[in-house]
Amino acid sequence: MLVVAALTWPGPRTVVDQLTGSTRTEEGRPGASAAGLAALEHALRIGESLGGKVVAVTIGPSAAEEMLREAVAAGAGGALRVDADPTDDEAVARALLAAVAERHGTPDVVVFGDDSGDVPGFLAAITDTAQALGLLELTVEQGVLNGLRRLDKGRRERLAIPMPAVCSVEPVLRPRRAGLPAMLAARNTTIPVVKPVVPGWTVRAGTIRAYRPRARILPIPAADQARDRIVALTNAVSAGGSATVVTPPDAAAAADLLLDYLSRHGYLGDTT
Amino acid sequence: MAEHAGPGTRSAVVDTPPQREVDVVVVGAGPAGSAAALEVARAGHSVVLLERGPFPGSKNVYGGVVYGRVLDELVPRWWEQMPVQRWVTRRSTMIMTPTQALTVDFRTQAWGGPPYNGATAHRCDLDGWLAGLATEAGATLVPSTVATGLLRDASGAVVGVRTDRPDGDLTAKVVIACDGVNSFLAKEAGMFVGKPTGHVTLGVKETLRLPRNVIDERFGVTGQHGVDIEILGCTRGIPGGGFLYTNLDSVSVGVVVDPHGLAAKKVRPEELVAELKRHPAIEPLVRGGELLEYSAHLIPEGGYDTMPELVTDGFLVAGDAAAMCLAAGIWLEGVNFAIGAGMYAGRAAADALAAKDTSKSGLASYQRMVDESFVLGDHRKLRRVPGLVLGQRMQQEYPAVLCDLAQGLFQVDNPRPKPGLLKLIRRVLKWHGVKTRDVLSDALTGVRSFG
Repeated sequence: MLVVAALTWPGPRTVVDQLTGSTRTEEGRPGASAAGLAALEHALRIGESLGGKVVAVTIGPSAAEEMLREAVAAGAGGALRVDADPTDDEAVARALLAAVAERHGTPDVVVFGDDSGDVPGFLAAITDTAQALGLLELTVEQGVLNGLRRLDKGRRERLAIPMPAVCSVEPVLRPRRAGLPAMLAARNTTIPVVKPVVPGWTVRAGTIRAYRPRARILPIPAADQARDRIVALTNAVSAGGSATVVTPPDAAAAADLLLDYLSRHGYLGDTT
Repeated sequence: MAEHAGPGTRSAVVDTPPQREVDVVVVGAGPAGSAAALEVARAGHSVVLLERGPFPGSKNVYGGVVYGRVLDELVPRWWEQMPVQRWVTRRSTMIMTPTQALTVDFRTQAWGGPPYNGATAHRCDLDGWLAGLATEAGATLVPSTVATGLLRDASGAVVGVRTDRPDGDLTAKVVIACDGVNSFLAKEAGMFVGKPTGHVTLGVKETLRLPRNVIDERFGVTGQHGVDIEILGCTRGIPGGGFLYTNLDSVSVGVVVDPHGLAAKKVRPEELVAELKRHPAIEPLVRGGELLEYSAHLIPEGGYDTMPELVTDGFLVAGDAAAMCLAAGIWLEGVNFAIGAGMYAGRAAADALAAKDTSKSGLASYQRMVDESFVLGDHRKLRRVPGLVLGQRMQQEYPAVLCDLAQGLFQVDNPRPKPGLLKLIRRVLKWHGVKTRDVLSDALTGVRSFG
């Protein structure tokens, strides 16, 4: 059982002067956020309940190791700093996954703070695991992971979360205070650093250009007047127009209908 | 005599373990604590540096200039490493009334190059840098940890500290208290017994963001040169003063006042800062500044006579905890005294450890070193100055006298001829009800104090 507490390192932030509109970059406050600390505490409790190893992970510069040492002092069995500079949340998820897999194997539970953007969602999608995000509570009862999440109008939703799972938690849980001996021991702990090889963008963007439909060669309509030939070509004045009402039974059938339509009208080129 | 405020607990008495966990515990990672830890670590002893904030400098406030000359002994060519905002090349003393201001302005380019004189700095940067030097030398920094009390053995000697962490007792051969003004540890150790109370002032400060080029233009500086202005007469007669200094792309403006005076006049400190910012001599300098930070801190300005005992068995006191802050009119210094005292405390602890005698007599070299250095030398020499500077005449009457005297000197009242200087002085003193005898008495005190 491997439980990962994914802590967000507060990088530089952009500040906008409300009077002048000028922008500047300010360094974030060092250390884990309240949500990150809550994630660590949840991870430690899950690890204690399920008898697993808890690893604190962050993507950040060497200054982030301080935060990881405090996590080790609080009870994490290991820590890992990921030396990467991902450009988007999907890349963050891939970098985290690659680093953890390289050092510790596949995680069973990953807990984020709810200030982690779309990273938990991407991680769940990449690993094809369950996701339960924005949780107020995350507990283990009889070996099963349970979550409590806010709904509209003050309602709550209780979730039974299958493992492996990716969760994120709100900062409603205060982290435990590390003992002094653990703090002293952690000060000299060397934090392992992993520099994962992360695949680049999964979607490649080409050069931006105006849409130009593929030309189709049509037979010349039989009509004397040019206007009549254009009307025949465009079907512009027909009563029913070109609308087609379809009622596919499911999403896959709808997609097939769309593809067939586009193919028939030459938008997809030769697909054979 | 009123009692010093302090925790209601007594020191915990422990069975002294045969082996202490560390050689030295330094409480407080400010300039004094980091300098002490640096010296101990360099001497090859184990040292733990406890800091109550999440990082060094997170809890500290100061209102002026860091004079780094003392760092020559600790960090060669320190000016190449120290995180400085601006090197102070203009030093002004401003005396003001609500509508007047008389400024003595000094500028030297010599302070704008190595080996420099004073600098403005952000404390989180400065304290972090000093603590970083200590940890590089081998000290163990433990943040977010409060030393809540002392551990003593059966004989009463200090043998460690108790912290607010679980299993938080830490035994050591020497404890160096650098826990700042209102030091609970020094009080618990009985270092303030018999010392006068109530000699703290309250400093409040606003840091205002301004573009760097605007600061350069308004204050008449270029590059990384900066200005420090000390102000008298801006506190509605409440004992204290004001300050304004330049950072790289912000200015800091504030007041330092006697909290008893504030309470007696029912004035809130931020009102004084707002008033100072509106003053016609200050407003053009801070106009349009965006408020970045408001901070407040107590300052031990009582001087030499209010300092605690500095050494007892297994225990040393340094920095603000030992009231080592010089508020002597034209000299307003603290960080340099803290660094110096911390450095000597660290050396004394290392010497005592080497000699295997951490008793009061074994640590007595600390008292000797600070006695023979600027740390106590300056305080001893200027011991009467705080009373003079914070006195009623200096605070309430002399600013107006000096401003009116300057106005009388420079005002042209033709067709009347210019008045003689002595006549003008007598006239201004009479206007303000100040007796010549008192002026002469204060002048004599000043000459004796500054002499």
